[in-house]
Amino acid sequence: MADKMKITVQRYRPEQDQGPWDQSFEVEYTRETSLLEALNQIKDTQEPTLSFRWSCRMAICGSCGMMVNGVPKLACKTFLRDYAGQEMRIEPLANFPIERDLVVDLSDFIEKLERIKPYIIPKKDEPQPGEQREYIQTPAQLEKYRQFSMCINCGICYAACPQYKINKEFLGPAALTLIYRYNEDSRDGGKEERMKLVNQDTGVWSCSFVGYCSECCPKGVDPASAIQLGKVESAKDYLISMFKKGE
Amino acid sequence: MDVVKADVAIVGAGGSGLRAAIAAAELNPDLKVALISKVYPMRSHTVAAEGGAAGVARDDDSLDYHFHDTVAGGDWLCEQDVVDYFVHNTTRELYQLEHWGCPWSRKPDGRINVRPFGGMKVPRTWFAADKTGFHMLHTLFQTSTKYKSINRFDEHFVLDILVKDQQVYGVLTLDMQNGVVRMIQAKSVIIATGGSNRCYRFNTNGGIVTGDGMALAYRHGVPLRDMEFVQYHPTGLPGCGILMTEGCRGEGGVLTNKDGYRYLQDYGLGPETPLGKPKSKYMELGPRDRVSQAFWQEQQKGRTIKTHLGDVVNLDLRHLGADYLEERLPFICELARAYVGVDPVKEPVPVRPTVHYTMGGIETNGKTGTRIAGLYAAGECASVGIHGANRLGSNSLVETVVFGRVAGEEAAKFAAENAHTDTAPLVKVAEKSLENALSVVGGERNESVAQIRNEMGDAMEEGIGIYRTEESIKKTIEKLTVLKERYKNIKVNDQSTIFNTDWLTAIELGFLLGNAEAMAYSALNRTESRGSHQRLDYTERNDEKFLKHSLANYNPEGAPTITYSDVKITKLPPAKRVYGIEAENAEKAAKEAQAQNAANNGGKQ
Amino acid sequence: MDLEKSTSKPMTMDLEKSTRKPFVRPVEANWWTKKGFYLAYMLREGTCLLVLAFVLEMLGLYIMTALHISDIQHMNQAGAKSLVNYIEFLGHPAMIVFNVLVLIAVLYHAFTWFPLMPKATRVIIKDRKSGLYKLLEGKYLVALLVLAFVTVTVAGVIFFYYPQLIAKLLTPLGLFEDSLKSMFGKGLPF
Repeated sequence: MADKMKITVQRYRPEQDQGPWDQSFEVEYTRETSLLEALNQIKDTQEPTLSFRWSCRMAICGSCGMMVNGVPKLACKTFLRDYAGQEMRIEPLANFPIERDLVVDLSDFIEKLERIKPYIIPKKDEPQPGEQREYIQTPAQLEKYRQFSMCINCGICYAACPQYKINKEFLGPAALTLIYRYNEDSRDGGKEERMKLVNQDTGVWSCSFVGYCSECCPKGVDPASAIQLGKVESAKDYLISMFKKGE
Repeated sequence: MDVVKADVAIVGAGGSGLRAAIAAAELNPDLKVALISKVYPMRSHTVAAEGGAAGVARDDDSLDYHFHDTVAGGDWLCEQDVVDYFVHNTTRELYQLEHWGCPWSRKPDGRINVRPFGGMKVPRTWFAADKTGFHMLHTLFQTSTKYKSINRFDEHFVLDILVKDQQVYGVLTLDMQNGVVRMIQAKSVIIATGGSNRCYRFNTNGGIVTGDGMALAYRHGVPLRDMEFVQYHPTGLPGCGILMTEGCRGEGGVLTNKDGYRYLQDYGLGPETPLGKPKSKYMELGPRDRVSQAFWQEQQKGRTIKTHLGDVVNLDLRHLGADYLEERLPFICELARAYVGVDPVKEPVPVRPTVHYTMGGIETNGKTGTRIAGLYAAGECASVGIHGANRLGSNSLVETVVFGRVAGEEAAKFAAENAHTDTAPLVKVAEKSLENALSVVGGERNESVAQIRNEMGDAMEEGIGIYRTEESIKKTIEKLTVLKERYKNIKVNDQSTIFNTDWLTAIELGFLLGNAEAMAYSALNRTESRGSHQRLDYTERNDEKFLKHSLANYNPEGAPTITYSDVKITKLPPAKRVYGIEAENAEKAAKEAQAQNAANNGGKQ
Repeated sequence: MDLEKSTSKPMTMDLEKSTRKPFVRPVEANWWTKKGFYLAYMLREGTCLLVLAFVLEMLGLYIMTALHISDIQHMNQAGAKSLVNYIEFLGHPAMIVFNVLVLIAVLYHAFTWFPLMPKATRVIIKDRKSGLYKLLEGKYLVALLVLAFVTVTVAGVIFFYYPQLIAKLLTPLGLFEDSLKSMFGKGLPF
């Protein structure tokens, strides 16, 4: 079966265009055709100058986030069969500046990931295991952060987040999730440093719990949950600091 | 031209590149490290590795076993001294990753867990569910942000390496976002750009796996070694080629043909092992080359299953149960559901062999050094000598960190011992390189990148697939020659400087064509069958003539020249490569012989 | 803008100077109306306005009635009128519609908040993130039953041990004095 789909792609060429404009294509598809394959089909046979990022084709590298009929999705995990009888409109990921066509500027997002010290900071009072030993971490301890370590950095949660839309200073879902992931890791001792970022105005308290990030996350990471749990931690942090001041 | 000066430049930021950067930064924090990648580091294809990374961890295992498995698995084409270094350093690196935060799957007592893998005598594959590569890559990337001396150049496409008088002086890059060229002058350069499996049409690899680094080193005179050895992974999804990890079989999954018969027992991997009780080196835990070859044989016999996506066999996981699958193979379940509409809990998954890994690569010594001074290579792009004619699953993920570290340290030492040369003459070299890179843009031409790429991919599948013959290889070579001619007439429509993917895919295609040719000529000249290189016209291994590495030497005028170099044998002389009951018998016989020997010697004394 | 209209003069690639020109999309004031999910969120946040109005209504009624507290206690005509006004006010069709609206808003808030609630909890049982998290999703009936059970139990316990408290809560208005007396069979402590 080879059905046809009309795909409208929003384009923007920085050297030639003042702003974005639409270009429509028609592609043939089968049950297995992903949007990424359709875009590659367009690039290969109809419009070679169309630019978009992609690599793994299997929803793990995080390259191909884009808006599909207004919803942020991975192109490689979006199938044309699910839009049968409709048209598809593809735009670059929302809330990011457009560099060209479907390519957005992710530098703000990447910088935020780096800012939160996303690595194990060894505990000061505990010896590190030697070269041929591991930290003991039970499956239950692993489970505390496991889900939040599944983020593929695709940026979809930032495109889903209305708070990030109106305030680019907000650390945002993925970065706050990554903080929680490391803070909850039994090997880590850097929570105190990271909580400074969590407690700021631009940290968890900028989140008004719309929850759309979790709705859109293609890997089931549930960043909204990490942020709410982060609020609990932040509140605890606040109370503790009040008592400490009193001393 | 924008010029940036660094001490060590690393091309590629996957497992090897990131590990090298960290190693260089730790060894010598005063060195400025430039980490260059055409994508953001976490997009690198290390991310897609699923099953795990090998390292001796259990009491009933030994470094000798790992050594033996690797050398025999590689059909004795391994550099044995390098394998020895490798097996001695795997666990140290894997524990290092653990200390950096890699969420390895654990046993109930909180210690590292391991799973069985193909061709490995004892379970020694460390895993993080079925996203091991993903977790390793993200751990390395996140850890790399800790080091101030690592300067990342994300989305910088390397157009060329700058070589003068057999020494490397840096790289020429295109900053894709800003649309400017940037020369990164460096005292040493590490290539860590991954494999070249996009030479083939059906593969498990991402679009970025185009062998850029291999092609660049090759063009500058470093031979590509053992390029005929291309690994077909036995279990890819039909159509898209997406990987179903060997961990599926390690956890107890079985392969059946259209009659529901576990056909691997007919191909020297039997006898059949009980369902749900995988036995190391038996049946589904045979090495990848053998399992892929068995598929081809079944296909010839008409015992595979015909689908609209081609012939398949079944990967049956149902007996593992929903809970176990959810714990050990969640990603596999997600992928099978999304891409072929099959729920592994309820139905067997259709699979077929797909190109997965380039065993060969840039010739290096055991310390990742190449023939060009200051130029190092690590990871899949390199042929450091541990995979031989067939790589064992889970040896490559750990290779990225073991040899990534070596490369980082070696390059750092070289950089510390050498000074920067004058920039101006290098800019001249870079300008010439840029001219070459730009030569594909514009003009009155009409060949399509996609068309040539697809024809190349099909020709490689057909002629240099799981089984090869002189005739099939020659046909592919003819096709490649034609395609190379047509490539000169390639049309690049896009003349923008910002994210010009039209231009860059054309350059990548040029890389792929050269690498494909190296594979084809190496395959043609090796008139024997060994590991993943199976010739229907030369079905036996020929140690007398071919216990040698093949070297494809670049020739700008036409076909590569194929020469040979020796294989380092230290403690394991070549023997028959056997699995299943045959292996057990051989081992028994060897032990008996040893005992006999000892008894005889004892008698003499 | 379509393809024809935009300038497409042939260009030469100048890779020395950047021609980068990122386009930042403007944030429209009505962005939240464009997506059902955002709209649902804004409506949930908006229910607070109705709740505010309801609280004001209750407060107003209390003040108006409390002004006549002694009349009511003496059961005189002014007291009766005040109570009649009270009931008539609440019985006015507009007020009934308003109160039904408040009820709907509160229920909407509760029902859409409910599935979000587990996100702020984390329960790990047998080394796995617990089923509790998933178990709760969409189980409104279960939640209502649990809520009802808890309420009845708590109220029952209080009622059993502190009957005086209940009576004290209800008697300032002089209501149910007789029935309460007969229920407890003794004098009330006021």
